[in-house]
Amino acid sequence: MLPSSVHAFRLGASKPACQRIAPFAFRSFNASAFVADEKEPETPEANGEQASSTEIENAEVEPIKLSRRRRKFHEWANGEGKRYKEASQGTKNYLGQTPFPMNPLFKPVLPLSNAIREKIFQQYTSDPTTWTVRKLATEHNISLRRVDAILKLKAQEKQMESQGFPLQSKFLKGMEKLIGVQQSDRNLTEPLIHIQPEVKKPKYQIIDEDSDFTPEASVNNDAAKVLNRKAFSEVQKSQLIEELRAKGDKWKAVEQEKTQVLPAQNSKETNKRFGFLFVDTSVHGKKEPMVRQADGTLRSAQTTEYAKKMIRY
Amino acid sequence: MRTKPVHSLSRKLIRMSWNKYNLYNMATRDRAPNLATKTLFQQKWIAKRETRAYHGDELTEKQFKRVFNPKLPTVSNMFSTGKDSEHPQVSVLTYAELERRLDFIVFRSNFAPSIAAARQLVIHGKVTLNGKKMPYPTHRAKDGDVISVDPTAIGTLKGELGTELDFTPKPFSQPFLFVPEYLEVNYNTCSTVFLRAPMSRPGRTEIPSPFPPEMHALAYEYYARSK
Repeated sequence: MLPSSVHAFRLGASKPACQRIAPFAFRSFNASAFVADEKEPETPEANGEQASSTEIENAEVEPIKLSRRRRKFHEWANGEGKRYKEASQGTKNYLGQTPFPMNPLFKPVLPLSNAIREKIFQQYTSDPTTWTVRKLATEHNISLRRVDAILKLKAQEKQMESQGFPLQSKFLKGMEKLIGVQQSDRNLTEPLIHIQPEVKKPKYQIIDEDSDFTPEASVNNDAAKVLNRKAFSEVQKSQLIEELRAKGDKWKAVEQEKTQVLPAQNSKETNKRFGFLFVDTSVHGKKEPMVRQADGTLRSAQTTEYAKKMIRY
Repeated sequence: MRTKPVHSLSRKLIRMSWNKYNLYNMATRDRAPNLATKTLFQQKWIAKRETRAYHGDELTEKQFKRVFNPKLPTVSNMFSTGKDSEHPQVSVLTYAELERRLDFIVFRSNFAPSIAAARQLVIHGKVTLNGKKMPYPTHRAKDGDVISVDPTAIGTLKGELGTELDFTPKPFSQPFLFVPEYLEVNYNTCSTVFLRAPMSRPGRTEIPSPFPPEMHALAYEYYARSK
């Protein structure tokens, strides 16, 4: 690109002065002294213009200015923008703190260096049974998918190398310098698994105006029930039991299990012939089918037991 | 039909390119456009114009509306403790599905100086997907796909075929050199693995975009309404 000091030239419409003077030259033989005086001050001009026009290929040209915007660009390219022209080795060279000044939320994470990736592959190949994908991921603080990808790429690399493909190590080194990947530092850290939320249609539950949507307020106002999931209290209890078992506190675990809601037993409610399938439709009752067995056991009904019957309470 | 050049200094639209005029446009536009005095439609239109000039410029409006998905994976900020742990608005993922395209992957892995150049690489058959030649720039990669580029086709590499090529970076290109989190690149073999779709992260966006989330939100509104 032309620097701003040089003006662009283009062919002009005006004739060179020599052309204007030429007819004079032919006619001035008789009155040559008079014409010569007039000519002399003009000839240097003519010569000068002729000389410049011979310098540039075609006929005489007029200088034009670049547009204001283009001039501003050149000012920037030679001033503030000069630091972006040549690559700054070893460090990243963004426009500001982040690559996009208008979007500070985009903070690029520096990728892993090739040395770390080689190490991961070397660990895996040395002993795949101990260095599983999960162990590698936890060791290097990256996700399982990324470990998979690294192993895949490195295996491909080794295979290509054996087949005679020249590895582009100059490209790798150059890019690592430009991106600013540090050899020793661990730049990229991420969780093991990425959980993508699956957004479905919104669920609506009609509740009373003054009531809260918690299981404490009312048995029906339970989010777990609406979403067909295990109730939170039950989840907590089972987690506690697991923890106690893991610790080794068997007796406490058994106690906790006993406090869980078990099917009730009432020896007075035995019946020789019938078992009863019913639903407690009272306001604070569980609106789920229950079974009173012949031996007096009270339990919740299984799906197969009531599915066929149309219970419309 | 384009009446102005792609990197016009008067329009100052930011493109997916390493072009020095593009860098200049980006450097001199350090503030988002002032939409305070504009009507709602004008705001949506301007946001759509600016963001689409960057995200999927080579797609026509019709093509983009076919690709656009109004369902975005929303994340709750109920358990976030501060600004850093708060997820940005979900509309930052408006253009997430475009990042699956082959030409986008080639550009984001820094194998081509612009989306148009990346597109040309793909069309000319220089790009393979899982070992097979894939000449379709619109092809959407699946999670775990390996995309390889022929080293001789890369503009920054020069040399003879079958040898280790010399690397000379393009002037004014370094500010654009970064690798998004959803790609794993191996420059030794000029290959990339597409890990997963870009997702919502606390305190940052995964999709490289010159525009703040507010502009993406308005563009999203424009397209969601018109769909």
